[in-house]
Amino acid sequence: MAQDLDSLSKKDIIDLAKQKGVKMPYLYRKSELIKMIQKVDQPSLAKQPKPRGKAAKRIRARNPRLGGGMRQKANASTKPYYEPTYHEDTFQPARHAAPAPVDLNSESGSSSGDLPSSYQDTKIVLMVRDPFWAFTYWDLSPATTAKVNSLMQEHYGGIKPILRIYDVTDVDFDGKNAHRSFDIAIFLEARNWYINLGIPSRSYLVDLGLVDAKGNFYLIARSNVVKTPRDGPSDVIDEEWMAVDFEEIYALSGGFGTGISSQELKVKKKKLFEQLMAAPGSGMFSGASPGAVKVAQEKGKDFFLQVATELIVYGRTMPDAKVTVSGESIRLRPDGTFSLRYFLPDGEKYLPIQAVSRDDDDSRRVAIRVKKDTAAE
Amino acid sequence: MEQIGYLMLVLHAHLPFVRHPEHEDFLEEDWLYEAITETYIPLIEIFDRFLDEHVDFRLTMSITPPLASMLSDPLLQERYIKHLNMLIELSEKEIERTRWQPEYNRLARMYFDNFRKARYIFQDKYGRNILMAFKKFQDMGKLDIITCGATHGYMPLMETTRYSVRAQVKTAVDHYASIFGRPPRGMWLAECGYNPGDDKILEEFGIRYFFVDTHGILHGTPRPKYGVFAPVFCSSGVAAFGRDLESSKQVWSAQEGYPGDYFYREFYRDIGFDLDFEYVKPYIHPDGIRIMTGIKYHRITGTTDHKEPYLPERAHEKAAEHAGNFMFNREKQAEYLYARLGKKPLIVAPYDAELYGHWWYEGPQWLDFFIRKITYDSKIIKLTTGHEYLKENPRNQIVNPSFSSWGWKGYSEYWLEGSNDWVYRHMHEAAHRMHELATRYKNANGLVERALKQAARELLLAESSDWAFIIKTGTVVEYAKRRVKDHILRFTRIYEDVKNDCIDEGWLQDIESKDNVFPNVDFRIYC
Repeated sequence: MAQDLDSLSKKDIIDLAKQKGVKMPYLYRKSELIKMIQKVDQPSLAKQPKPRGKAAKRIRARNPRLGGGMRQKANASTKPYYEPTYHEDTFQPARHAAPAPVDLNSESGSSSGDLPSSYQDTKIVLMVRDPFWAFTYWDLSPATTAKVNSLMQEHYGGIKPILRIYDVTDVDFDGKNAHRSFDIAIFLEARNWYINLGIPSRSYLVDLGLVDAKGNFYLIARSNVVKTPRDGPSDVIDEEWMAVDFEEIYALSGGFGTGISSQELKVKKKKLFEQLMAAPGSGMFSGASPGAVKVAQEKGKDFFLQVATELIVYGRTMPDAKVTVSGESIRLRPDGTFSLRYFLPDGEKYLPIQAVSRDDDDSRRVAIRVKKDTAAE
Repeated sequence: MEQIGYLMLVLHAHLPFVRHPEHEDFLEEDWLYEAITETYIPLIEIFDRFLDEHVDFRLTMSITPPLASMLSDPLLQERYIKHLNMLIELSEKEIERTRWQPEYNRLARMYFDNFRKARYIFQDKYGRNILMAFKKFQDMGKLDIITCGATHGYMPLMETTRYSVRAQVKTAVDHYASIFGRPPRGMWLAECGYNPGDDKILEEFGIRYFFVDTHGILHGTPRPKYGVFAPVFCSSGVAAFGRDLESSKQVWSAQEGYPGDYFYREFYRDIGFDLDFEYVKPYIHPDGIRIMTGIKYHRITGTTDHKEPYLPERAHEKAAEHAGNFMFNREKQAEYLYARLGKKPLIVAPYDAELYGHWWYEGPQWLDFFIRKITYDSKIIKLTTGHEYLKENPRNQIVNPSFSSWGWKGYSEYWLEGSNDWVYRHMHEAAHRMHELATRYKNANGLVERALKQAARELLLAESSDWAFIIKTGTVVEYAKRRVKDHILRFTRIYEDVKNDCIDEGWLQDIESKDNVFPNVDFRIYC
């Protein structure tokens, strides 16, 4: 390490020192700076239990309370969590990679210091983003962090943090009566995540917890309940206020349908729908095997690439038809359209889709066969 | 032909609260000065002319509390005069400089005249407080001024801290009453962000109507019989008006909208960038950063960088032509809808006020032509306001609108994505803490009360949706981040000082003088 630093120019050393939180580094000699940098880097390597994996290592590296005092200081100034985080091109959420420090005090002079990275309180909050997506953030108290760490050590390698999302539409949730649930494997220190909920106009809540090899779930925190908006017109019709032709009114108003008014809008809305549906999902419905996520990563390096796929099936039939997919009946939207989203693991997937007319007189059958193969190259 | 339709024009006037007494010159304060010269004063000029000529106009305008606070702030008023005097001086020099270039010289004179007229309206006619002009138009029944969340807070992302929504609403309503002398009837929800249930809070504070984007109504429950062409009542009894996309698009659209016409003035060619540095130096930022001065000599001309000199008469004709086209289209739309709906349709056309004049230089002229035309020439469409429409049409369907916004993709993504999602952790925590303080020190007085009022101001200022918006847009990102951070840190310090009973009065006084919005803020709303 020292060798590496010695070979850097003083300017580079100053930049590095700044990143490590050294105040006014140009006041120091190069050799002094190198010592300071080493001091900052050290505690994260010392006296930590053997890291179980990437996640565990990161927790320790990022959580000030698990490191030494100096570490904490360094963290506070080198990793402002207000740095933009990116999630769009991967389903990896907010990565707090070391950013260049931003001096926000240059003009103000009235306030100093950074915003706290944690409020020392265990909680998880769920927020609606749109009909298909939610955002969640969480925070852990020192006591919780300690518990989590001891669990991690106890189950060395066999326990992982997850988000468990429950569909609690119209139920008073007691932990067991959700309509469905699914898990997302996460990194605890990510501290936030975008979740693809899949079905609009439903109520959801999320549990943050750990799941061990036997499937036991250890709850850390439970979120508030949110209701996602619908992505189309309501099924409820008030007879007194029934439109003569709602589809036309909808179209005239600028809805999805064939509008005389706004061709452009139609395209826009369609695009929106496609964007919302096609955005890479962090949410996977239960049944998704973790092995289906490809992680390309070199041992001992922070850099990685994660790729997962989902399959969207959408279509249209007579609004009063009965439709089944793989033998299971699905619900159509009022206009006869439907869309389904499946997790797509490696291998072959076969989806027979059948529509039967209302009088059982007519039927159509379409089958989809998808083959997927993922490999690191 | 009898009247068969209504049109409600809504101008949403908003700027975030930017006021930095600690700096002699502050770049972001220019947003206000530009908007006054280029948008608010031209609007006032038009409305005053309507009064003189007895044009019975109707227009709805939201003037947000931060904008109203800045417009009535003596420091910013003083600075605006200084700014304007500088522009007058610059345009005088321009008249001299362009002596031998008649095509520019007449434009320099135009700016010189406009700036002087602006100074007359601002200083002499309305005593530096142009809110009084808008109040006058409202008192005469022509203009319906509505309010907006106290700091333009985006309410759908306050779902877990609904006392923040209540504070946004109540603070706005109180502030409005203190300026306009009566409570507001309508509210513009910041970014049209509607979260079901927020209407109950509006109802609690006497708001009778608000606005949502098209799909807010279309996806409401039950299905809206008339689509967006009639307001609906939420089950709380508050009315929701939905935006008509067709009329919006004609003005807004980058491709087919009016503002892109080649004869209109080009926004991006400004002498602040075009002229010699030494020459413009006294009129740009003191640090030598080139900025827009507002003096622009070219028309859009075409899609290339080549720009021809601006021809005001030609642009004026274009504005008249476009106003005629807009009226023709609205009449056709109303006729068609009337036949299909069996009811007089209401077309709601909301725009950002700053589009008119600031971005679209001829926008105020267009509005002038359009309102005159529709008032005098149209038998088919009548201009209306939310209040008037509801008075004439008291029976409306009960529909609970759907969660929606008028932002990108129609929901909350613009304000909740990778670049800006970090802000909510802090805002929510601060809101919970404010609730804790307000509950615990409900009966506070003296210094503690002052501190709690300031804490409420800091929280409100942090909640302004503009910061998340700017961070996502990528314009003045560092400034926006700093604002979030400053307000949260100031809040946090007050929170800790109050709890530890160690309020530093000198420090408090300092931030009271800086973040001086809402002098009468009611912190107990957070209980």
